[in-house]
Amino acid sequence: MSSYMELIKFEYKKIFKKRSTVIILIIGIILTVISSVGTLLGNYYIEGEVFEGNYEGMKKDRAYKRRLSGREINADLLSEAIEAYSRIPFTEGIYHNTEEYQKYARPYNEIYGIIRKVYDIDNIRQLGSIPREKLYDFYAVRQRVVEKIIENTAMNDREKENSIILSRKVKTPFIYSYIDGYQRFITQMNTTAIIICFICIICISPLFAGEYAEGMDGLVFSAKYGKSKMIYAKIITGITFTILISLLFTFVTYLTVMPIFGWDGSGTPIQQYLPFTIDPFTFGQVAMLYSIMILGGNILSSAITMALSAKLKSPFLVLVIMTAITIVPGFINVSENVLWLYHLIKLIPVKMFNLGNIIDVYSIDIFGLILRPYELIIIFAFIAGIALLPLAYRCFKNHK
Amino acid sequence: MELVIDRLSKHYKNKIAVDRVSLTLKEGVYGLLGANGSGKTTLMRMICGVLKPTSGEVKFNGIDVSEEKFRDLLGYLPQDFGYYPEFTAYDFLLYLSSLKGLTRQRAKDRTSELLKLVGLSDVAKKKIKSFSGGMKQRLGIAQALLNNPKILVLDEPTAGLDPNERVRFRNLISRLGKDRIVLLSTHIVSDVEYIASTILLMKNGQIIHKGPLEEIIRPIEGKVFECLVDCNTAEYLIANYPIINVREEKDKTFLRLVAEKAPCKEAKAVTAVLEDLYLYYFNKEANKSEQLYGIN
Repeated sequence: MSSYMELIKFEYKKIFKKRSTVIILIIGIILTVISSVGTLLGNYYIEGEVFEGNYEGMKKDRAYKRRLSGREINADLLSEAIEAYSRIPFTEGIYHNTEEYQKYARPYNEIYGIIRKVYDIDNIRQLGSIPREKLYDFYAVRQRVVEKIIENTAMNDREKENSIILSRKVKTPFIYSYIDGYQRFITQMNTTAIIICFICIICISPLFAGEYAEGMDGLVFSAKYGKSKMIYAKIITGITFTILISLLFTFVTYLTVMPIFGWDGSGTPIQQYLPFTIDPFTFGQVAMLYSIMILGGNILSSAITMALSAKLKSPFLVLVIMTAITIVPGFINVSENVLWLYHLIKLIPVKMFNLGNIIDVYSIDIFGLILRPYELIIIFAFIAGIALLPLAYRCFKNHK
Repeated sequence: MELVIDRLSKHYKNKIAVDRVSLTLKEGVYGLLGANGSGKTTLMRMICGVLKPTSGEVKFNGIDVSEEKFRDLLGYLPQDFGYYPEFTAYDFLLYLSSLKGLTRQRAKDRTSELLKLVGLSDVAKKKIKSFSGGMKQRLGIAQALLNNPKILVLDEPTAGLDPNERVRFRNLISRLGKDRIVLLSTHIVSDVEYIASTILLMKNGQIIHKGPLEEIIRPIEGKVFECLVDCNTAEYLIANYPIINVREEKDKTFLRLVAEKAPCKEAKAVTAVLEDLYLYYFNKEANKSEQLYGIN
């Protein structure tokens, strides 16, 4: 065991002794922090003049939303929001710029967002057309829309049934809460995931191939543990490095976003932000699940990097291929009508970083086993990641 | 103690790099001589398990080259090898110690001991990227000795060393050869001449001669001549005999060559040395090189 620890220690030393690693980590952290709070930089302008700073605006919104926190989302609250929005005069410009919006409607901004989605309206002028009884029927209307969305998909009957059953488990009524901290965290994690992915690719691509590039292959392969423990040590280093970097950057994102935006809302249902989500998850659970899914995607990406590194002998070539694998799928969009391909594409690491895998309505029937996309992705990421490691081991051991 | 190499071959697409080499090596220093491309490095890499042979096997006391046990007994200094430039010499040796299965304390002791032996103690904590070629080579020699190997394979170990370092290193190898198998390849014939108890002459992937110095140079004993001749005779001799040395002197040319009998009346037989044999066998390659560099 101690010999393993020694070898792992030296593998880490090889990674962290490189100046490029330190530079990449610093750049990664700076990018994460800046993109986490980027929305707070700058000002909001009305008619060419600074109305308020974005940070100031966030604080104002937070105060408004916290004032509504703890209230049940029901017909009363929805009516209040509609009434507040009805005060906004007709304007050809942006209604956010009116004094009435700022004074009366702004505190209900998020409630308006929910109404707009559930009652399918395009603009604030249509708010008045929603019958009062429909407001009382808010949760039934929401559920009907969810089930309609499910029915309109290309899923088979078993899949649709599973999604509908799941959606009916969402507990109502929703209690309104300020959730901007979690909302920002979840949104930011997509960027953070890509930053983690690139850092791992850059640092791990020389793990095996670097031995050839440095001209060390002759020495390591003739050493006692060069074809056994050292390879395991490299694999363990690659995986633990990915886990550590993922945890580090997830915490950097969390600890940058939450103190600024606010810690509230971990127990609030995700439906307050995304009303048609079918899982009965809270923001805290979604944040956790999303972080695990991103970790899985990054472990898979690192496992592919290690397998290529063991096979190709050139860290640069590995870097080029992995960059292509990471960037190109971003340009590929598959129609939801071809569901098998739609789900298959999502098994590419970078596609695993999409929040849609948690919030969309799909169920997947795999030979009778019904899974949600995030379940399939997490299981696949870990199984495929583990399955690729023996390949890396064999490729490096059978070096010629 | 016996290293058995049995019909070892390595074929590439259209080239046979090593052709059915069979050897049995016991304690002592073996000097492997051969021109560039003769297959020395390929043979050594197969002996160290770095390269998989096309056919044949390598065994030490019955242990196959592919086994961990074999590598535990092996020390290898490759011809062209790199370092982790950001590592210090001390860290580098500690890392290779852990790769060779030494315990942490043993690794520290052995590292300090070997850094002293190769004269790198003062720069032990300096990054390898700041080292000169000779210092890197000495570090390479140190790493090969970390596990006190029973088989020591050294590919061009004295390349990059200054004359003093070379002599020191030759003496070290001589001592090491007393209780282990040392196989070294070099282009510096005098190194082999001084320390190798057995010389292996390799050409076109085959061992063409094997034996102690006296035995190996026997084929050219009495056939090495030196002469000081005029320009025309020199041209004739160069064209017709394997030339070992040419030196222009005022209006005459000094030649050292190999011939069955005295090639001219000025020629005097001299004692043959290993370099004569080497140049005699690799004459074709030597001449090719001369043509390449426009000497002739």
